[in-house]
Amino acid sequence: MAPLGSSGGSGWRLPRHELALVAAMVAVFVITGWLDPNHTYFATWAESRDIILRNTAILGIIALGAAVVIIAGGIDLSAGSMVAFSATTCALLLALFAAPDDRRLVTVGPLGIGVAIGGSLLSGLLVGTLHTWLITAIRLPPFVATLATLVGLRSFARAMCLFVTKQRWGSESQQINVNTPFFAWLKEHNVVIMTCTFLVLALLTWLILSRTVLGRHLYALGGNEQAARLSGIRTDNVKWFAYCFGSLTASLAGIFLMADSSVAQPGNLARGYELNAIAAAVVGGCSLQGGVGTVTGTVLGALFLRVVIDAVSKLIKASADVYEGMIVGIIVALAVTLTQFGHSGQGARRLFPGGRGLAAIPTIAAFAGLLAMMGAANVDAFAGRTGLLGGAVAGGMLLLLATVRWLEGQRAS
Amino acid sequence: MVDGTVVPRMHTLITTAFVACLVAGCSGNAGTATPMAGGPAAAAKAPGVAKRFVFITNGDDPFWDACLSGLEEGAKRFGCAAAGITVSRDVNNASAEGQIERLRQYATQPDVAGIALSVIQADNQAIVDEMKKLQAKGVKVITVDGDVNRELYREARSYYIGTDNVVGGRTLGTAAKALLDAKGLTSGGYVQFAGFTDNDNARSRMNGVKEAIGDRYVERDRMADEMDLQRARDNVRNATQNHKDLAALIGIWSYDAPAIADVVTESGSRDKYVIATFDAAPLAIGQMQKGNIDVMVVQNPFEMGVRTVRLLKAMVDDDEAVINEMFPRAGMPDGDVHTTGLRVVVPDRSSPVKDGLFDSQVVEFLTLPDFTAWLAKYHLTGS
Repeated sequence: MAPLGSSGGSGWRLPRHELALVAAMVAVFVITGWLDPNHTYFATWAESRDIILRNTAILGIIALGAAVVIIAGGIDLSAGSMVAFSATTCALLLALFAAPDDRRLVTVGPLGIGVAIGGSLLSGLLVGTLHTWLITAIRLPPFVATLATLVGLRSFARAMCLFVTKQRWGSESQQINVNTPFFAWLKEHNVVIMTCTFLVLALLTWLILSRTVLGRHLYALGGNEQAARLSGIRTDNVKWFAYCFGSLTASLAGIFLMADSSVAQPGNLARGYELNAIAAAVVGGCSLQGGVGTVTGTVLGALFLRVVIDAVSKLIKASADVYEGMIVGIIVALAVTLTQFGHSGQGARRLFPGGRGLAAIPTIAAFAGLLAMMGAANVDAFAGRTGLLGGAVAGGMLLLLATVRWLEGQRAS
Repeated sequence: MVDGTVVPRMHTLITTAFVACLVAGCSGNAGTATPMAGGPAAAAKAPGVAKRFVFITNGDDPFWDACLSGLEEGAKRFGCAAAGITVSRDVNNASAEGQIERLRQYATQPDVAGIALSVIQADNQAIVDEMKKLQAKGVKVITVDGDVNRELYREARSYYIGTDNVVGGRTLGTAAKALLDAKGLTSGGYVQFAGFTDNDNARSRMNGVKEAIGDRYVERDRMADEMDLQRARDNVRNATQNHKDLAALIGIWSYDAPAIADVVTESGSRDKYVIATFDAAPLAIGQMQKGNIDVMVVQNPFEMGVRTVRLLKAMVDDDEAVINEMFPRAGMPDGDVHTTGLRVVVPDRSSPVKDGLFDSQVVEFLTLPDFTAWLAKYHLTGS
């Protein structure tokens, strides 16, 4: 596996990790287009393309922020809540500029829109600054600091929503409908605007990481904080940039999501997005140990995740999101496993060492068998034989993994 | 030992192959139908071409299990299999984003001929826009259980099937008032619990309850849990601790009933409260059998499912006779609304809630044993 550090310093040439993602995406497209009974990717490609682009842009914008924080050696678990907080801030500021009885926010003028967007982005900067303070001054581990805001920000946004709606309109509401013409326009053109914003943001991030001193400091900080500090880098300032960038991208995504769904609903909006963003960065090659990662990898990681999720929606005709978490989890585990194998010992590490390795084999086989059984339940050809199929897959997997373990043992000896 | 230069290629191949297998493994009906390029409208009309009706819920709740049974029953009764139509249910994640994403996804799939959805936010412009886009593509769109804001967005769907939620609320309020009066109370407070207090059906029901229960009893709060079951219980705990004059707890969404019953049981305060709830979740039925719920106003999600299939099939087949039968007042105010009726369920005949309190044209009055017998007839565990 090619080294993933050195960021975008390699110019526009795609390293092998990114090439693997592109190849996997092409494979997913081709296989899905072939297996999907409707052949949706060929029959109505434009609509599928729009869905993938829209969702990739949102995920990618958040993932770019997550990647910068990860490269700097930190972690930001609060992105999903930051999205909800930013959207709520934007909607509440719009409510303050709307006519007194306008609960749909149709009457907000340009000044109100500007203040709402500005206030929303400012909230991102403030939360990023708060994170940095908690981490550098209070000395909280980044995981704990951003875990606190993960739960705190959403709750704060909900309380803020109830308070402002009560003060403004006399009755509490957990959500604010946003029908402001500007945001309706944004929604109407969301694919183009969000995709362009994502690409511009990606370009900016690439420039910062690969063409500026700050970018080198971010990698140095993530690679070895102590060494970075001793070499004269003002690490606290670099952290401030990283966390502010992470929160700012989340707040930008919050504005887009609010426009896209015509509502700010702090209780549910973007719940769990932080983990998908981290997953996209990791799939794209970022190392959670810091100092390693690329913008191109993160962009492709986000695109790859959304392509796979969309492909599953095309194949499983209803409630496909039930499988979304499982698939993202498998892809993340697989991507990191392969990356680690590429980095360490060039394949010398064993997949199933010792007793725990042995225990993992039946576990993986059982999961594979159950997955096959559940999938087969949707296929007429397997009616009444789903248990048989599940057993066959589990048995086959057991045999395969046991063989791998035996070969590993032979190689070691 | 594997050569170092070979490893990256192997990883590329392994990644590609694994993801391909993963995606292939999720294939539902590979190779069982022919591709269509004519879009949903063409799919809906073409005889012998596989079509789908999709029911999108507002969230995950046992209430929808009865509806699914109804969808299956409807598919049987109205010959969907013979017509090449499959019916499926898609459970939303209780967010507007979730419904929007689902509507967009189905817009890409040319075999989808009909969509029924329980709208999660009546005033949400984005949901309405996606419904209209589906209609423009020839997909039949109706709402069930939760409607759009009829004053603003009625044209986003052709018809609504479900409960008249204001009447449902009034029915529950009437029953609650009878129970409060029977306890000898002349005043007191009550709190209403729902997933979202500004969802159309919740808002209508709560307003109906408030209207029927009268001015002698004061509404202390409307508490929302955003369909989080733990939060639903916490809301009940907070309500009972915060309002000392509380005399009644009103559950508006189905899971609120067991939440209320659990909390009053754990706190040993059952005798202090009248407990009146909507729907008959399996846990709620058990709680009424234990004496922890006084009255349930039960919708008929089973029948909603049956009639959803009937209507969508009639719309796809242009069967005006069926549509006219279901909507005899078409063209008149609310002529596009088809109600599925209500049941008032009490533990037994000794309940202060009596048959005569309700309009028999709208409400069927049942004791719990009669109701559970009806459930058993259709192999249902709740309604």
